[in-house]
Amino acid sequence: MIPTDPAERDAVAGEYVLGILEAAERAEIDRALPGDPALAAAIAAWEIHLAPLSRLAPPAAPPADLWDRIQALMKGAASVSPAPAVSTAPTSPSPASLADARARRGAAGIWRNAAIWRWSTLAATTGAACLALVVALRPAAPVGATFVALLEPPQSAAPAFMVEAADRGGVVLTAVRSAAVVTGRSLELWGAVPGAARPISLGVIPAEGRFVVDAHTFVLEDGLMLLVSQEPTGGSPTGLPTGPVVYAGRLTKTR
Amino acid sequence: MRAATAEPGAEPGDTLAALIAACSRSDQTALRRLYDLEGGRLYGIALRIVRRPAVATDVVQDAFLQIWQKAASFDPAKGNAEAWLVTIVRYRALDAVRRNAREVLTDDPTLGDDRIDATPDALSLLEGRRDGARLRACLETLEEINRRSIVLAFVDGLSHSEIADRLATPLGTVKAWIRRGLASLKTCLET
Repeated sequence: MIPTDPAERDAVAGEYVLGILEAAERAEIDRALPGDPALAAAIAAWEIHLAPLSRLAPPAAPPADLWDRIQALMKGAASVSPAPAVSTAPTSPSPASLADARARRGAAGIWRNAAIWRWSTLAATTGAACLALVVALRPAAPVGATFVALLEPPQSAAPAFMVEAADRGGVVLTAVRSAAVVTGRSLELWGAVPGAARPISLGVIPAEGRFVVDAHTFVLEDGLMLLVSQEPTGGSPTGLPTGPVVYAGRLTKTR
Repeated sequence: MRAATAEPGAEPGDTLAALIAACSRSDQTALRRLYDLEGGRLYGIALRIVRRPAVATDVVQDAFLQIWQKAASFDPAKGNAEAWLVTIVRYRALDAVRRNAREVLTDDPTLGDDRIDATPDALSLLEGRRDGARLRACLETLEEINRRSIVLAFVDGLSHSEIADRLATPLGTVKAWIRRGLASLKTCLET
């Protein structure tokens, strides 16, 4: 229960920044933050006040290859390999060409979407709290509709994955170029209905860069946001993205 | 690259802010400079909390990717570059220790119990920048035990119950110490 008394609220904000709240208390604050700018401001103030304390931790030399790993992530160095372009999955929709997908992409501006950053922040602060997935289900798209999405890294228009989907079939993800994945990490695909509180996991992307998701767990629709986050091997332990979102795109209806 | 260089005599935070701004314009050399300037310090912060080099490495790697991606959201007018960087790394590190049981994170004997010293003398490390001097002055007005609890939480990433264990004190007492310490700190910092 987040207190209403201003002094107590400020103390809770300080405890949040110290990192000493129990998982459930922390999760409660994470949930409240988007609608409570005063609490967010109190937390931001504590982050600034206490930051100099970090100088008490002695600096240490990071492993020599750390910068290379960071750079590989940024540039999209190989590990998830592109799969053959031909679709073989029995449930796959008729494949849309990459060029067609590019043409349909439009100026989605998905990386300016605040929700991605909220989830990224959530990932950084939520921990292992068990949060219920609440995905607002909407009316299904017309029978026979197909969709396509290109998943791109931030600040770049070089898609790493193409997703094709049909409302009656599965969701097929194909790597279109080498995607950055760090040794010991997995990439996980998430879907988020616009306005939904939480993204829902569609599964871990295998190293061969191609997989088919059974789409019955959610309803496809135009504008559905797809995200790829970096997770511990085997996928997120919490049911929510815990690592950074490295690729994102929106489903666009093709017919 | 004008934005990536600091004015002579500028506070270090100004350099960092300029580098973060350059990252938001996809300037990779700016991220590299941030890494050269702050990588060791941020790695030290992560290592202090997660206690295991491999985990600290993952934390800093994820943090730098997040710095790159979120650079545009940093507002130098409202934020503080050092705090922004530290916050990203700390939350990731705290998240990592919560995901893994802490017991398995203390397997490196070189990372034993050399816990952070919170004596006024040790706090001189905070000097060097304006905000650090102010925080130090305010921390010194706290009761020793309140100060120590806050430092153990922030720097070592210990939870309430871990601090209680370490100081052999009931959990409720530790919670009260920290709460009282934060309240006094707030009053001092805002006057």
